[in-house]
Amino acid sequence: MSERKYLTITALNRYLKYRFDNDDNLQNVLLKAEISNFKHHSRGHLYLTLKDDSSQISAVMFAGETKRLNFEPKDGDKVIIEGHVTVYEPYGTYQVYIHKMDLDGIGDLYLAYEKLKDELNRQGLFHEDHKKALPKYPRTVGVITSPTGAAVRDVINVISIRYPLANIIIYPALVQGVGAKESVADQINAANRDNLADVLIVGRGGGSIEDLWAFNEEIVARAIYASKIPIISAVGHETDFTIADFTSDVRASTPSHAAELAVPSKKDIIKLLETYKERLSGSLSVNLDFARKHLNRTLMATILHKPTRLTESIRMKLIYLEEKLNAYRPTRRIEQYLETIVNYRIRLDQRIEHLIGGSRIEFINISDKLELVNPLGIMKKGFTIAKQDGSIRKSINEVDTDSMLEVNFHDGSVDCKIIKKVVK
Amino acid sequence: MSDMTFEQKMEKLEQLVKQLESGNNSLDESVKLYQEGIALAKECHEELQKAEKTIISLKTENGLEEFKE
Repeated sequence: MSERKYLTITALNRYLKYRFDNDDNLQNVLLKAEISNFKHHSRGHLYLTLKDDSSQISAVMFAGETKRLNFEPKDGDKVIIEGHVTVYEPYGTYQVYIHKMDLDGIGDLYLAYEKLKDELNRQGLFHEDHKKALPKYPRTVGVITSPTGAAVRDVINVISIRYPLANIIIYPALVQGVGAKESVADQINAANRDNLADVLIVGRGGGSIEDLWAFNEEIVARAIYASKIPIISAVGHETDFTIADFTSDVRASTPSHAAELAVPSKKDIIKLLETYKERLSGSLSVNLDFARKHLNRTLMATILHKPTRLTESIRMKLIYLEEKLNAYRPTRRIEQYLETIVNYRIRLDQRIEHLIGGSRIEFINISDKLELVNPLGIMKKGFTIAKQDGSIRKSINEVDTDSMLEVNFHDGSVDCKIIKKVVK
Repeated sequence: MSDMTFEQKMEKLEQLVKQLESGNNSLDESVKLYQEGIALAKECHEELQKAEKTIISLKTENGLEEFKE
């Protein structure tokens, strides 16, 4: 009998581990299983048993790997797993080390998705009437996404180049794994409370359907629907629509696309400003042209009807022409003669009136004087007038003795006979 | 004028253009609309040229902080 070689247990387990670790099949296994004996270790590692109808194996998922989980595992969950199998030397056990674990049954996910979509649609969450218009020139763009992913960089790059006038506020959110849906919903609500952004971009870069699942959750849809700030959804995938896409005001295919929709481009605005300036100038010259024609028409009409309103030079010319014209017009001369005649007549009349007026005054003066020398007045004072044969006798030489003499008093006359003449 | 946001300025400018184009203005009003429009367009253009860098902040528990990539 040849000499036997005895191995230590440590050596055996080391050897087994060596064999396991050098087997490509065991280093990259894809498994379908059901979870049992699930334990969540205080350090964050997950310990569980994977089983099917007739067999089982223990498994572990280290805390570092669990961040990528899209669900909270529990007993009874049917899962699909990527991992490797190796030996745990101290116990001589072999187990599955899980790198990636998802709920099995994408079919089930789709069923849940369709059911939720129908329900929310029925409740009006996707209704066009509820969709808000995006601001044309937002001052601040809120971005709800992972602060470390490619999505946030893409959004920043596009906005900085297109429209540096806008500010960006990043609301950091978990965009996959456990707690992602709550995180996204919370940040949508926070952005609304802050009310600093004029538009929100909610999304993440591309990934598998499981990676994007947070954007198919009801809590996210409700938060989007409740948002008073317009939301652009930007879940990085071209073909399938998430429920967030249906609920948001505008759907973008990628975060870069969302940034392009969120802000106008500086170049376009400068072009638009040029267009506005051209339209202003064009429109003003049309108005000026119209006004100029109107002015000309008014001027023409004014020349014919209202010479005083003309400009001075035109008016002077008009007066000159008018004078010249009138100078050669015979009727004007006749008019002038007539005018002269009328003038003379007026002056004549005035002169006659003057003369008559003067005579009338003279007459009155003379009358007054006449009154003073009225013989009747004197006779009242006792003077008498002696008449013979109707003529006044002013001397005794004009009468003879024994002739008859008529003596006139102011109130009558007496016939007398001259008896004797006495010479003084 | 400078109290208005960029959006308000752009909207006002669009209004001025439309009003001038409507042709329902006196010559005085037209000239005024034109002058106001050109001034506003210039202001917008300058504001665009002046904006150099987008300000990026990160919302944290302590409020807004400068965002470092």
